[in-house]
Amino acid sequence: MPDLGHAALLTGFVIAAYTAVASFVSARGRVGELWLSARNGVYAAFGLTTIASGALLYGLLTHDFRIKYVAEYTSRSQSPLYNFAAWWAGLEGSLLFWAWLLSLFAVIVLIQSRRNNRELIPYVSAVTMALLAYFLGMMGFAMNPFETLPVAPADGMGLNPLLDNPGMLFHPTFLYMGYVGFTIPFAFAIAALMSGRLSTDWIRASRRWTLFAWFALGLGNLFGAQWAYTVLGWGGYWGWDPVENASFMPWLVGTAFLHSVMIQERRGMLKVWNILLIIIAFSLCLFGTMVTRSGILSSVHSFSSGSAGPLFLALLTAVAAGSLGLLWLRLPALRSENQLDSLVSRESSFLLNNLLLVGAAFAIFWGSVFPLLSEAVRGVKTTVGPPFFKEVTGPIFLALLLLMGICPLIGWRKASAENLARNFLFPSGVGVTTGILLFALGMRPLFAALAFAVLAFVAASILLEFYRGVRARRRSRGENYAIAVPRLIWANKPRYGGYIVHIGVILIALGVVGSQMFATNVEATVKPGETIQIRNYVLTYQGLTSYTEGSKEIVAATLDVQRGGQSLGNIVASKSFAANREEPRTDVAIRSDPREDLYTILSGWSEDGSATFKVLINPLVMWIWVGGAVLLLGTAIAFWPDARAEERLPVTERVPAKGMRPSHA
Amino acid sequence: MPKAIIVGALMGLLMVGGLLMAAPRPQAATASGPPTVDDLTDELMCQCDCGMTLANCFESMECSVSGSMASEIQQQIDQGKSKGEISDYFVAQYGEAVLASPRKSGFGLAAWTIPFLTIAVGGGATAWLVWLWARRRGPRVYQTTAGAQDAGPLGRYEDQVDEDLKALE
Repeated sequence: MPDLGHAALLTGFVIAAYTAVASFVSARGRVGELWLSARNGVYAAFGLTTIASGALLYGLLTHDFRIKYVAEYTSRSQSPLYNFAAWWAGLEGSLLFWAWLLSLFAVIVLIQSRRNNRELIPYVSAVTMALLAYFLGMMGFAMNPFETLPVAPADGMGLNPLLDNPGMLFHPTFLYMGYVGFTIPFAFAIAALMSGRLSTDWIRASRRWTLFAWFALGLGNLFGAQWAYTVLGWGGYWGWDPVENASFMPWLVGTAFLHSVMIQERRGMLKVWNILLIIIAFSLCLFGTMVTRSGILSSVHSFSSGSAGPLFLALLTAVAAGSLGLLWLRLPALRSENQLDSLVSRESSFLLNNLLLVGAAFAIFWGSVFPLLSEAVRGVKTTVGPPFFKEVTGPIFLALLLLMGICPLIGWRKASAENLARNFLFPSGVGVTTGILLFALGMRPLFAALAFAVLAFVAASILLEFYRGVRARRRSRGENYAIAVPRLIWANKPRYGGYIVHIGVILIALGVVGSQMFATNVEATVKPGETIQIRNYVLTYQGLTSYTEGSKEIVAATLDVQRGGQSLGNIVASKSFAANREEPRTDVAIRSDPREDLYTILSGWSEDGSATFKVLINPLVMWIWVGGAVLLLGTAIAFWPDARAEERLPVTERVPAKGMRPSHA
Repeated sequence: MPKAIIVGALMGLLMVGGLLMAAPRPQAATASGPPTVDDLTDELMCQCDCGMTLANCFESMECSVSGSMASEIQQQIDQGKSKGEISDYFVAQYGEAVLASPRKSGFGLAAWTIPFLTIAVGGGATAWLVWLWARRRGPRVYQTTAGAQDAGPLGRYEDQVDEDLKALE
């Protein structure tokens, strides 16, 4: 089986490399037969990558410890589900997972495009297959997941105990779907540059892929946050670790891209900027993969060093230099069809939104690479950790949130004073009242009151958008509210799906501000029967038990919880020790409600039965996860096929030509 | 007063009510006093190569290094040292990398200022460009961006092959 897997990788490498060249040559020379051959090559590459993946999975699930990778990441006592998840747990396996996803996406694109975008598709295949060939080549010649051991051990090491969590099934997979998903819009952009078809075709063709990649990356990050919150036991969900940052940056740039393509679709502007954005987003995906896999930056997530770093750096350099060079060559053909009419217009506010999103990504990138820069310039190692990122990105994200409320209130092209006054009165009233009252009632720091005021403003602006739409439907069609709301959303899914995504972002921001600004904690060592008090909670330590569960030894502490004198029942905080690992895993006791989380960590214990606990109160955290669910709902609505999309003409088409006044903006 | 403002203010009141119900009580500003161990564990990195702050490493891993560093902090506090003096003590012990963020002086200042400078320059350039466009805009001839879908020669070839294959089946 290892030989079959490795042979499939090598054959896949040859086929993918051939397909990349054949696709490109067939597109340039318009050689139909060659394109047909290349098209089959895409399917063959997918088949071979699937065979290689199947061979690895077979090894993982059947405990074939001859394979080094299997011995390192699985064990006989590990559940089959986690043995399966070992596919992406280590460097070599995750590269194979990356490659398999890429080959699958390449096939889906091909099937989707049987009837359209035919000038672009051969170039798209050339890009995806070239990337696939690189990944398969890396595995085939440098990082072989099928490397065998001279003597097979009786049992494997199994996953790191921290990875033995349902998060392992979702967090990496969604992140990889996001990273690899961004390959497709990137490939379409390169196809547009190569083919010279620089209209909005490539954007329309890849819009769903962009949305999918953006969503998968966002959800992957949220799954990671949830995992860190429940398992790591430090009371937080985002540690500003270089690897976390690496997955956040392309999401930010992808968000900018999703917004700015609207301007190109409606006004034929920002063509260069949009291509640049998707090049940056994809390059950041590669950067993220490089950071995770190379250990170039100190991180809790890093795997190993070895040859992965230089190979990824070479790929990143080639992708960035090649695509930017291509963009430079096509610059003359990428002139805007229109220009902005006013500083006060939705286009301008979108530009500002882009600036802040890319600025936030840059700030995070800058902080992530600053230690390398400092060492290169001064020869002194420095660290850029959470305090830096919180302080630098906080104001940028607050400004972004504010803009999220402002953008929908400003009309396209040029907003009149009347338009601004009419649209801003209500949301401003909500925001200002919220801010003033919170401050007057003593909320400190000021930043928190300001942040809540901004969130209230944004919520009100979205509410206003829904209210106007519903009111229009009630007037024109006589629908009641219960019917008008879903029909309004269904009638324009991208628009209202987008607003629902914004509501999700507000809820996430609510949870972040609440938990970052108002968390409190206490640490205490108590004997059975003694209590710990934090705010209006009283926790009474009941005692310690230890038991075996599978191959794990678990030490668990039970505490009785009361809030304001009312019993809330018992909670159990524990640590588990895997048989073949020294490091225990912390299982936090979390009692969550919409107001706050009571977060209890068992830090240690003594033979006399006393135990040390750290207890935190993290306000509003539940809203982060609720926001994630709302984000999921909004994206699904925006993603849903829209039969009426063609009926909605771009704004430019509704504007009369030369010499005539437009009837409306 | 426009109705929108009144309704907006009422909504604001409602939101404040909701927030006060749901969120923590408004807090008074914390008084400045001697530093606590927690004040410093968030600002110093654990030296066990975990890549985490002392606070995070201490809670999430069995790490003897973070424990002994926390004890060192307590000793320094007991000696009456200020937060800055304790930070300096750790820098002397472990080097600058022990600080969780660069100092806001010397080369470290670049870390803090460059992101905001970049955004400011980008914002200025964008505003200038938009102002220039708006000022110079010519006759309002707006072109359509909708491009017709053309299958192209390769597409037509594929169609032909698909048709032939269907005929064979």
